[in-house]
Amino acid sequence: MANDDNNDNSLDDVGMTNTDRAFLVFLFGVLILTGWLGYEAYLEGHRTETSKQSGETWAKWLTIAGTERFNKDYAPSACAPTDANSTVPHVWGDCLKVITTKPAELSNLINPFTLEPLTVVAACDKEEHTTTGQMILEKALPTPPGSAVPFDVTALTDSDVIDKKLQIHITICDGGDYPIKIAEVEF
Amino acid sequence: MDVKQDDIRGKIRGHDYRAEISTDLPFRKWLHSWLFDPKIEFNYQKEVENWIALLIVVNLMALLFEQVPQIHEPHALLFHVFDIFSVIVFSIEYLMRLYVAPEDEEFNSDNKKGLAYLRYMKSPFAIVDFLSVAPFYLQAFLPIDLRMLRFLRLLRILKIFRILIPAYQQFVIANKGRTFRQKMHALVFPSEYGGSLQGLFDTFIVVWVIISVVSVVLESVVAIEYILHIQFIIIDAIAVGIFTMEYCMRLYCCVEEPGFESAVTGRFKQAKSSSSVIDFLAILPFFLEIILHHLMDLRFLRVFRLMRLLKLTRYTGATATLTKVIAREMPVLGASAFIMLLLVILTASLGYLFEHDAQPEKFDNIPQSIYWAVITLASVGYGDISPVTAGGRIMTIFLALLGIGIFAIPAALLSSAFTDQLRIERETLTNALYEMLSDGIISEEEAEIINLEAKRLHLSEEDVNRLIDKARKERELKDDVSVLPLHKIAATSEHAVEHYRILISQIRMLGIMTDRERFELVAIKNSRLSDQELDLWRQIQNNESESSSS
Repeated sequence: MANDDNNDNSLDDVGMTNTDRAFLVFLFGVLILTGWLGYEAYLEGHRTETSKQSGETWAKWLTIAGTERFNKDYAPSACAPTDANSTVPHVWGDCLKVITTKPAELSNLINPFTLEPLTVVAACDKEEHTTTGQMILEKALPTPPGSAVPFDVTALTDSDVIDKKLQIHITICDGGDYPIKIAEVEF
Repeated sequence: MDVKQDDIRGKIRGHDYRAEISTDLPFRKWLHSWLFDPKIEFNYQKEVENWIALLIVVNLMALLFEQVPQIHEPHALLFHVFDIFSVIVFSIEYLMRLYVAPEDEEFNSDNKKGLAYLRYMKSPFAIVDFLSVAPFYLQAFLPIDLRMLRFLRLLRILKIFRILIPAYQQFVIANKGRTFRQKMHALVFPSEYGGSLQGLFDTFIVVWVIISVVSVVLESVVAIEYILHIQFIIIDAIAVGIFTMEYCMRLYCCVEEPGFESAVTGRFKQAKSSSSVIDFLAILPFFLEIILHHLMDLRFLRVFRLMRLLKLTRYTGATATLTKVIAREMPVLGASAFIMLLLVILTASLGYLFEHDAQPEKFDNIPQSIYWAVITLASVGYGDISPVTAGGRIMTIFLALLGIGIFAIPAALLSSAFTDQLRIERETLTNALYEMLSDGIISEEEAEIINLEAKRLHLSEEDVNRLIDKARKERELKDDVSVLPLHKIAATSEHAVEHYRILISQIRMLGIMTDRERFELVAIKNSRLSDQELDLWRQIQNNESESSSS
């Protein structure tokens, strides 16, 4: 058992034994496994990158909309401030519906983890893993002077009125449902 | 003796030793000898190769980072300056190698300078060197696509073969006739067969440990992680692949190590060793996180990738010394820890006793007071919890003073034990020198051992010479056994015989130098010598007279 059969010290080159060949096959197998697992990790990382790009697309759209939506005749009108003549205030839910319905630009975004359309969720769910690759939109409201924190950040709800400028934080949930902060924009 | 001593010192060098190359040499030969001649030991050839290799690695990393627009665009100028710097260094290297080509036997076997230049320019290494800088100059005259230019810059990595190929050739020669497993052992474990290829293997692992650890540290910086997320995943996968391969290779060929010969128990012993456990823990988080991520959240394991830093302990003797010191001082450290524990519990209890009523929210119970006790005794004093009662404050004064002494004990113990260990290791080297000097000659092998030890113990050339002098003096002292106390002489039979011979010789000398007749007269008259003693005297003197007359 001891030291197998590798004790030849002649000066001719010694070929590989069966044990050596078996080890090389094993080593090759381990490297293939490592490569495959690495590729899996890469794919998940790539999906996270795609999610981040979706978040960045949202950030870009919201930033542009934030500068233009107060102009007269802005379209989509659901995302513009409430008309002076209107009695029903414009809310975020209506705006979201319009911008995520085809053929709007943001309606084409796909959640790379589920291959379904990207949706907005309230928070990343690390326990149930139901929010992988989804996006979180939060509004940051200034707190009264003297508060410990300058902003109070809460989820942007469908009923939030969008008549005034809003500070929006965009976050996406990665492969492990951990939040990744994308941007803070003014809408 | 002096000649022999110089010969010994010629072979043994401290870590700061440099080759002695005459300044009278022609400039080109002098330059070649100092910077490029691999046959001259202790010149700057290895340093030049290492710095060029480092520059190649940094170039490769710069090329990788250039692919990330978020990094490249804001620092484009820096990347460009670095590229120019690299090209200048590589160009100077190329021109210098070309200049000294006639001094290299490989290119100037027939003493024709012009042909030597041509032969050098046609050599594979010179072509690679040329290709690594040519695209930079070419772009000044020809419009080259940026991607093509980057691809051509990748050719710089081929320069690494200038180091790899000679090391590989040396390895093949040294391992001629050895088995596959023995060769693998020579590659991954330090041995006489490893040569510089084994050193390069170690360097490769060390570089990947550093890259991997730096990646883990940078991953915690959100802004960097956001930009380099994919790159970090790739680096981690490559690092794990390399470390896994290394781990498997070490386990497979460890049976070639003395003490690990058995196929099963030898490998099990290797797997249990601290360095193998560290190697295993360095790769484990990667596999666990990916394989089990559907079952549980193992992202916290990522921080354990920092344990890869511990892999470096294999390459330094300092940690081995520290481990020895801790193991040796463990009983004393244990006793010290016990006293500290007693003091902490006592302080926490007294703190609770004095302060509980005054500050029930801070000294709610004894376990809560332990935090305050440790912070006070260790002289940290955050100040978030402090005594307010007179009794509590008086007690704190005494305990803080006591704490300074008690908490300093382990540090002082370790410090003195560490110094002691270094002294022991130097004495061990002195003893080795003492043994090696027994024949007055230090062989090449012995010199190599001493050089390695001197390097490990960070001894300068002067330190080594001092130890040689010390060993030499001790050796000379041993030769003259008469100066040793009698019980020490008696302890060794060889010394006892030598001493007896010296004593007989001295008696003979006495007989020659003194008046024998008068000696015997005094001895008999005053009964100073017994008959037996007198007979012995006569016997020795007569033998001397007989041997002189014959």
